[in-house]
Amino acid sequence: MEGLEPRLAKLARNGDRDAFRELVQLYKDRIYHLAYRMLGNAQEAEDVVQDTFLRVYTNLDRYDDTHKFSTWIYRIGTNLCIDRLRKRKSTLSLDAESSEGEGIDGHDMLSSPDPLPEQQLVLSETQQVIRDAIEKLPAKYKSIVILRYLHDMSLQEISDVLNMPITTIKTRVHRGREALRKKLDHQHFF
Amino acid sequence: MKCNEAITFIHEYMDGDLDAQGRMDLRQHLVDCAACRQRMDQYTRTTALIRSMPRSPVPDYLVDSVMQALPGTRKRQVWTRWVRQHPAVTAAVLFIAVMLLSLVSMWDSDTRLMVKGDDLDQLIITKNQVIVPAGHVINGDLYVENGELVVEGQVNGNLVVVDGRLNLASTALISGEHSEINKAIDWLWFKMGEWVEAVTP
Ligand SMILES: [Zn+2]
Repeated sequence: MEGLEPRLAKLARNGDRDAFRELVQLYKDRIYHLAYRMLGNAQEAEDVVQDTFLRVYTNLDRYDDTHKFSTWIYRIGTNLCIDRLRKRKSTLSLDAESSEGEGIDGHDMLSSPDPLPEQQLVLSETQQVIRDAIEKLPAKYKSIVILRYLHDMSLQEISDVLNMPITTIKTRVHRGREALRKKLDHQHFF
Repeated sequence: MKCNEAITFIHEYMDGDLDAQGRMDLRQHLVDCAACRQRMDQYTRTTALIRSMPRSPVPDYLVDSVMQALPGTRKRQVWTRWVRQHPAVTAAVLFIAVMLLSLVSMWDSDTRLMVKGDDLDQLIITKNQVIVPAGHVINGDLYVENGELVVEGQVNGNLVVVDGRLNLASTALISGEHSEINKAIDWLWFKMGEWVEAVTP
């Protein structure tokens, strides 16, 4: 039997707007949390949710329903977030991202230019430290750490979402984990 | 096993990728090496903390705003559905829209001098001037449109000049407030205020 999402996607493709609304209901929270953590502010998270669903909608014809819908929508959402981070970075007119493994700690200055406080949320001191540590990770580690630990994805799923070999994902999970540990250690957190 | 090897094993263990032999080797190293034990503990705490991050609340309007941003017929459908669900609000919005439209057309058409007030006998009114002569006292408000209001005497009330000029002589005495409204948009606000006062008991 066909899964719920491919069925909804098919209906939406044929013009059923309530079916599409259902897809939005199913995924809005996940994409919002992904974007919020990636970008660090509510306004941009909303924008990413809007853009993601707009792209899903306009590309419904291209959705291959032998693949998981979640993989597809996460890929769109993640790419939109990474694009935004890249734009921020280029507005800071910095050099191209350093090669794999380097510069994990050198990118602190790339944290969001206007880190809005978590407005509706009271974070403990510990959580603030973690938030800042994630916030300051370079995009390629950040997306993977977020998908792995905040969206509970397996390495295989992350590899599908990012369309990268699983070995690369593994390496980046390890480096992301080490970068976070180091940051927390430097702040005498442990 | 060396420490850098052990660290790779720790990562693989945490990813669930370490086979039985590897787990045994790692355990043996951890028994002997406090540094690696500490590192593993730090990784574990780090990931546990990330997992425990609270999620910020998702705005309620997100679904609607997503649906409304979609291209094509979708947008209109959302709008009509909203109209069906909110008849009273829709009626109010339409009412305001109609009022604004009529106001704008009034603004364009009306360019003659107009004077409104409670005490007009004492005024000197010319083609484009309204004068409160020196030594005279006007009791009440004065409202002048499309002309100059010159105050030399006394006004016990408010002055409003729309699309004109207020000229206060040194002898002028005004007990109330005075305002000049020269832009259509200010005038709109002023008119809206008037209506609100008119409909409020
Ligand atoms: Zn060791």
